Amino acid sequence: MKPGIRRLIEELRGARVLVVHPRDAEGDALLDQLKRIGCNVRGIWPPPVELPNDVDTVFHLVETAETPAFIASASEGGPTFVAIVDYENPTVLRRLLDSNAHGVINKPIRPFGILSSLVLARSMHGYTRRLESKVQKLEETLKARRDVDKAVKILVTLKRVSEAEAYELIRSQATQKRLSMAQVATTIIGAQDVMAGLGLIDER
Amino acid sequence: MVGSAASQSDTWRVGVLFSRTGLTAVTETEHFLGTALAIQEINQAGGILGRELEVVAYDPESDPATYRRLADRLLTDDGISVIFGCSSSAERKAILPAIERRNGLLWYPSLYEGFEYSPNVIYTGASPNQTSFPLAEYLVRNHGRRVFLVGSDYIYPRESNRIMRDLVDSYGGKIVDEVYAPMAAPESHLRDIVARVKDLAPDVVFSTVVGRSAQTFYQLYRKAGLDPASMPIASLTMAEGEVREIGAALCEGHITAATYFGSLQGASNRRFTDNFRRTFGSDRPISMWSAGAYAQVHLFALALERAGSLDTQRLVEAALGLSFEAPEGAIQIDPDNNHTWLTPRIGRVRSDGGFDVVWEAKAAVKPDPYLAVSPLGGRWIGEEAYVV
Repeated sequence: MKPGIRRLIEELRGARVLVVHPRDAEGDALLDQLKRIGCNVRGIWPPPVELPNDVDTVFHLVETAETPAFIASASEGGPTFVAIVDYENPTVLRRLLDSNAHGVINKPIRPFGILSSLVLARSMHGYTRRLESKVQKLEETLKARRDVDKAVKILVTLKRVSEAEAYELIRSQATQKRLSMAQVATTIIGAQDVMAGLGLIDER
Repeated sequence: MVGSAASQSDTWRVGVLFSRTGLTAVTETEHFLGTALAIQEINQAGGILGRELEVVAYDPESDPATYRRLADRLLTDDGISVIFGCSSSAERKAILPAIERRNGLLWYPSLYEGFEYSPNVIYTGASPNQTSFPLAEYLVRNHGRRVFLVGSDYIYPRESNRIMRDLVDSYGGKIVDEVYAPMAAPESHLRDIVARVKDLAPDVVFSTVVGRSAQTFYQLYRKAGLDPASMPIASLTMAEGEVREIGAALCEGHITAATYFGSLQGASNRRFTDNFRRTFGSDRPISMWSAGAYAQVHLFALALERAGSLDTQRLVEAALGLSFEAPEGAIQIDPDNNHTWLTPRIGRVRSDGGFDVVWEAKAAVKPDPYLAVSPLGGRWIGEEAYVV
């Protein structure tokens, strides 16, 4: 969650930032401050249909008018997303939430606060990404664990062995065939399903 | 200009906020004198566009809260928008909200730790890339790898030490300890720190202790038998005025990185020191604190002459990119970040309380307040340039 501040700051030097905001005094103020901080930055308006894929951070104006939902919203593997808001009415707040933004800055845009928002948003983005991949791994592990349990039960019934022996059988199959235990377990479960469907073995 | 009355229209009214009393009275009084000298020069030369500068000055007593209150008074009751003021970051931060809210313009003459930009401030003191960067290389190469960090406990020392830690590391050095003392530290506390230095015997001490505590620290250091010749204290703020307060004999051999020393030989410095002595007497110390404050008033005058108005927007536009032959040499306000191009130097205290310049950059260096373009571990000190 907390990489060294030195690394965070150094990473900003290579950051490729896109500012989606009208080209006015405030848009310029934001671009200039991001340059001062040391980012590679460019502005674009109106919002492009698709985000260029060479940016890792996007500052995006949340509009109040009934325009299409903005193109950039925080998505898996997408860039860090910082929303720019000028109203705090429920419509804008709804859009802010829908965007899954990692950070927010307010209008009128002032130089103070941009660096903090940027650093926090990038850190939150990285943290969220790490959490997501951890959750994904945990889910896979959990499913694998459930499948192995299920396969063990099938073997116990079919081969009349103990649970420990059934587990050992799956493990040695996995080793021999260079597969994961989860893959062997899935095969057993699938096979049992088909065989039962054909009436070759009792269902359960 | 905010609320200017007809009766004042024949002068340009500006505010001055430097402490004459309190913890940082020594350095801030020098800011004050430098400012006063420049204003006197400008008025004696006929003012700007035929109008003299009129000063409203208060003493904020080295206290951020008082700074805040007096800045508000200048901006509202006195109807003044241009303020020359503040020495420490705590003071600057205290008045910034008021300055920004009322769209004033602060001219800030002191070095500081960087990482700030306000469209309502012109920063004429050094950024870390103009002081700490060359200093770190100089210290590690000339004095050794083991560096002890000590500071007063507020933002400037904390951030300066963080930067110094990275720099020392990048030159292959090592921080042996990092300790802090309260702003108005009791002598016993500073004595403990000196004892700690003595125990650890580093090659050099980098001190960001400021104000009266710094003076006490230097005195205790020498009295504890620590020798600047073999184990100097390096600083970004210890200048001629404080050296005199401490006693030059106690300070000889200590090191300061700054962009100005009173001993500089250039023609512009001779002019400045002559005028300064003529105005304030020949025995007053002359340092970066007065020279920087002096230079920024002249920059302001050039900007005002161009803008013809005290309107903040127009003044800033006129100021960006301006250059001036300052006491330290040519300086220029950077148009991208409102900070100032200055010439980095390293000085060593002499027995008379002045500084020998032991290294200086070949030219003014671009200010890089966010350290966006200054690589850690860069080369500053050429082999040939140990002694100028």
